[in-house]
Amino acid sequence: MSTAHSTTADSAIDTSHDHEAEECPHFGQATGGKIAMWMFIAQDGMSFGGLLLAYGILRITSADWPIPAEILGIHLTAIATFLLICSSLSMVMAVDGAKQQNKAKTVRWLLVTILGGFSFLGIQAYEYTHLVGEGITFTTSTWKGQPINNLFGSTFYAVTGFHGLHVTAGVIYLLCIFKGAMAGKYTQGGISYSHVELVGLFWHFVDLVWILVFTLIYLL
Amino acid sequence: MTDSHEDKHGNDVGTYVTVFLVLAFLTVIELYVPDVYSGPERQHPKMLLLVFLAVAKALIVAYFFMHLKWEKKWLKWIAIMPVYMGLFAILLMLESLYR
Repeated sequence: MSTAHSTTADSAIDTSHDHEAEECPHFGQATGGKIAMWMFIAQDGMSFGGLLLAYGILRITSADWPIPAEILGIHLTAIATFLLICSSLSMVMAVDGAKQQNKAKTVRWLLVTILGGFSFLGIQAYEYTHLVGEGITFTTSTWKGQPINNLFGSTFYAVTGFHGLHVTAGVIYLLCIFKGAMAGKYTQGGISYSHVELVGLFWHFVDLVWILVFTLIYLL
Repeated sequence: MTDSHEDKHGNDVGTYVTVFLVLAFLTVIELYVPDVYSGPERQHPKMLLLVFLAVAKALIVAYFFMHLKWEKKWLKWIAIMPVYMGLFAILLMLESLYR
């Protein structure tokens, strides 16, 4: 390649950097962070898949599995489910705010999302306390004084606990992003808003998994 | 700064609120399904309907809230990876049912 050609190519690259990142034919404008987050989500999804599959096998092969709706508080959990869906809406609004470089909108909706996460965790803590008091623990399960299949409690806490840890991690992640958003880090142009988008992806994934957990553990 | 990517998205507040309302509506339906299909002979339709509703809701979240609708094919392939696991489970169940 001649020097003249190199110079032309370099200036072309510089110009494209000034405006927008060059579009990748395979991933479009997705940043490395976004691709990495999706790969993490796919792997994490398989972890949940393994747990839910194990739950399904244990339940189908047990003749004395109790009816979940008779033990678990469906209505309270439905409220928790609704709260997570609401927090998904607020999360997407926060990402929208960051894209628009609107600091106030980003901060406001991130705060709503964090409150939604804390509310969900509060309901889960209340539910766990109540169930342990009734005799449903990780290793032994009794209901109204009668022993029931111990695997009911084990699988319930394993699946919902693993999800609860994800919500906790999500809230901590959101708090870190919230701190940055307050300082205006993500609303200064460029692709810095994508940090809000990444936490959004994780948070929506947590919501998506709960939608499946709610049906498989509580409703079926 | 013009964001052509955002223009392609068309991801306005209206879309998000509509998606939220659809999710909330499907959740309300889910809560009524166990009451409507309560008898032991109606367990299979109940199970199928509830799983269908849950998968539909999960796909809506991934497609709209997680912006998969506007992503390129390769990112969609990464996202769909855990679904293979579900397909494998269905295959195993069919094998045991028709053995």
